[in-house]
Amino acid sequence: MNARAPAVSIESGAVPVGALRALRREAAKALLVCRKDLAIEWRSLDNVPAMFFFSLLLLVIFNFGFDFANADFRTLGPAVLWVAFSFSGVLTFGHAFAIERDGDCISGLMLAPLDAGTVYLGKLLANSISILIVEATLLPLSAVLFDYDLAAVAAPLALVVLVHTIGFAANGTLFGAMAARTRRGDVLLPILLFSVSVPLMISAVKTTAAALTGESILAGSSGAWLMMASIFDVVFITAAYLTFEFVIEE
Amino acid sequence: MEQHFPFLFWAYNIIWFLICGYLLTLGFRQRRVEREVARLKRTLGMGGPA
Amino acid sequence: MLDASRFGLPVLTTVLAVITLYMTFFYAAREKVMGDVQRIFYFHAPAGLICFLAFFVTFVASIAYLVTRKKKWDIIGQASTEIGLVLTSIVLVTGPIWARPVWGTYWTWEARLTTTMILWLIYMGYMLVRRYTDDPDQQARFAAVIGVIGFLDVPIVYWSVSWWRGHHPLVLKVSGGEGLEPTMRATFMMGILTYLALYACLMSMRVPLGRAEEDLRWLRQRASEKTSRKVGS
Repeated sequence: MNARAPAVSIESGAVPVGALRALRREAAKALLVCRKDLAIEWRSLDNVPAMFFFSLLLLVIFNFGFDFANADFRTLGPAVLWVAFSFSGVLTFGHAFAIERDGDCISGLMLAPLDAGTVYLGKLLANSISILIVEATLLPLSAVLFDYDLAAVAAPLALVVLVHTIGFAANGTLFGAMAARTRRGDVLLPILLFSVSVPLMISAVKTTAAALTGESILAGSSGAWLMMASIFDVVFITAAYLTFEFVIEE
Repeated sequence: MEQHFPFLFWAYNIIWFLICGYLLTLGFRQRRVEREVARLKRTLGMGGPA
Repeated sequence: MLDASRFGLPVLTTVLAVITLYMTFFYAAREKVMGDVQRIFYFHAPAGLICFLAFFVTFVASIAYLVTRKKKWDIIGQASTEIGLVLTSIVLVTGPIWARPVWGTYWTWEARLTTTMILWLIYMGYMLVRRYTDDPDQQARFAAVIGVIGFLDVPIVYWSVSWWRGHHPLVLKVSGGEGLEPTMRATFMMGILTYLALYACLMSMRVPLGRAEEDLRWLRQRASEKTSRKVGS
């Protein structure tokens, strides 16, 4: 039927057709892994509700410490939000590989004609979506609880949250796979993840604060932070993509 | 060399404590490993790995 | 005990240390603002530079291990990380001791020290992963992955913490040795050489220990095979 396109196009200097096709195939496989994880989550509802309630609880507890009724949420709020998001995110990364332990699904995953890197990307996507769902529900709730205008800042806030969530999930997915195979993985995961993600946390709080107060997030120091976060995302998604096979092999 | 001498003194000496402490732990570990290796070689009744 | 035939590096380290000590207390000029307590700099800053080198060696060894799967790279990586952690601890302990008389407080969240603290946490993660992973092959692989990821993070951590602090320069122009008066620069260089020799010396002791532990593991495996064979027969 269709002969295998050569990996390298000899005639033109343009991007080889074969490589593009391979890329699309790998992306489709990654999406498949992602859809599988999200389907499991949709049917079992094991993870996202727990994350949501945990985050909500953290917000409530922090409120008692900082008294957001009287203080402006937009100053201390970003830090509180990101503590809530990151701590509940840690739940996701542990869960993503716990589900593979049941019925030894991880062997099935490895036997499938899937690159380890592809599995990583699929899991990264699924984890990011899970956390984004929680964030999307929690942010409006926090606007109600702590009385600030979310609609006015929704777009910049969405961008900030997206960039930083992906970065957090980039390392979280890798370390989650590692932690699933170690003793005390539940403790190891946050230790590894938070120490490596410090730059991202700083950036998240700074840019979220800028977004909430209506400053431009693309200009000035916020722009620099956002740029750094994007670089962080690219560097660590690449590094994790390349090293995931070493973590997941038996 | 005067005011703040205690700080200088402690900074300097803590470095020695840390390094010597590490060397001591290395020594203990080495001895323990050697003892275990000797015991296992006896049990296996062989010359051991090259 | 520790291999007695290797006296070269320990002797070299001792000689360099003595020279640096002399230079620190008698040769280097007295700093105008801080006085003699500034001399802590000569055993604080070089430790920071060499700990960075140690983690770079871990980075290279980790990549080498993941590519070649040769155990020696894992041993080198682990040794370098341990020694790097000792050096990092030196930085983290001497820093506050220096900060107290100079700035009145032990910890100021200054960019370099904060980065060092995060570095300490990341590489402690490396050691914890090793401790909590049972399978030795997995242990080596996981540690190598952390050795790579952790080091990639270092410049990013440094930049972000510096920006967070608002680019405030340190009170004393430190680091590369630029802006230092000649006697100070010479002493600083000697400090770097001494810590370099110390690193090499500690590596020369730690790596054979790693090899011995690997031999021990192999022997244990043989012993348990022998026992199970006996039981089976």
